[in-house]
Amino acid sequence: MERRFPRELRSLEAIHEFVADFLAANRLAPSHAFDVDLILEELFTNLVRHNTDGAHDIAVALDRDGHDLTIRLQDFEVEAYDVTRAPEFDVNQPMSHRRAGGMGLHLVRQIADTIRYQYANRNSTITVTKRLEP
Amino acid sequence: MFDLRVEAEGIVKFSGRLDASAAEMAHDKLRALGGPMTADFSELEYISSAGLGLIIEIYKRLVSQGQSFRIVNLTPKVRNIFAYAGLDKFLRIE
Repeated sequence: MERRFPRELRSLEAIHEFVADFLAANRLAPSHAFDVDLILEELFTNLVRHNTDGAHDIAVALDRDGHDLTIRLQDFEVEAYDVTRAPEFDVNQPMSHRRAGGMGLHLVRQIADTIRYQYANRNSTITVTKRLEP
Repeated sequence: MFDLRVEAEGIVKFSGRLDASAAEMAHDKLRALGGPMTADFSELEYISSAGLGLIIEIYKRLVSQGQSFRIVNLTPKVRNIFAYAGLDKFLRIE
């Protein structure tokens, strides 16, 4: 199941509906939506914020093989930005050093099983796998 | 859909989905609120890093004013997100 979304934060609601539709179509429990929504939101907003020169919609695809879910985001005609090379987030840093950003990719790493980045022909592809516990 | 309701005795009820889009909209409303504050998350279904950022901002502002800030009634999923970010060690979460 694949759909393209405008590169703006307002797309998050439509992405949430897309996830709900996918789970329902695959007879998966709605409780899985939290993790899938979070992975997609953090990666989607990252693409929107880092690839400011991007002019195309971002493609989001969900695919299921048994209990294994594959989430794929594709950003077209952009500079490379390898999310897997982002620095580790320090969860022990005190509140005085904390700022609003920097936690998103850390959360994705906590929830996802694998994260892969590919860049070819000026297109970025992020592929995440997540085991959906029954 | 995200909603913020200010109730008596400094209780602020968060409900719905606090994603990046909602966090942007909630920012100004929360900035106008003083402390002490109890954030009731019993109806908060979802929070992302943008929502955590908003909470960090509220905490810092209230503490710098000598006010208290606590979060109550988190669902297990939302509580996990605070734990993943290491915020459960620094915030008053009940």
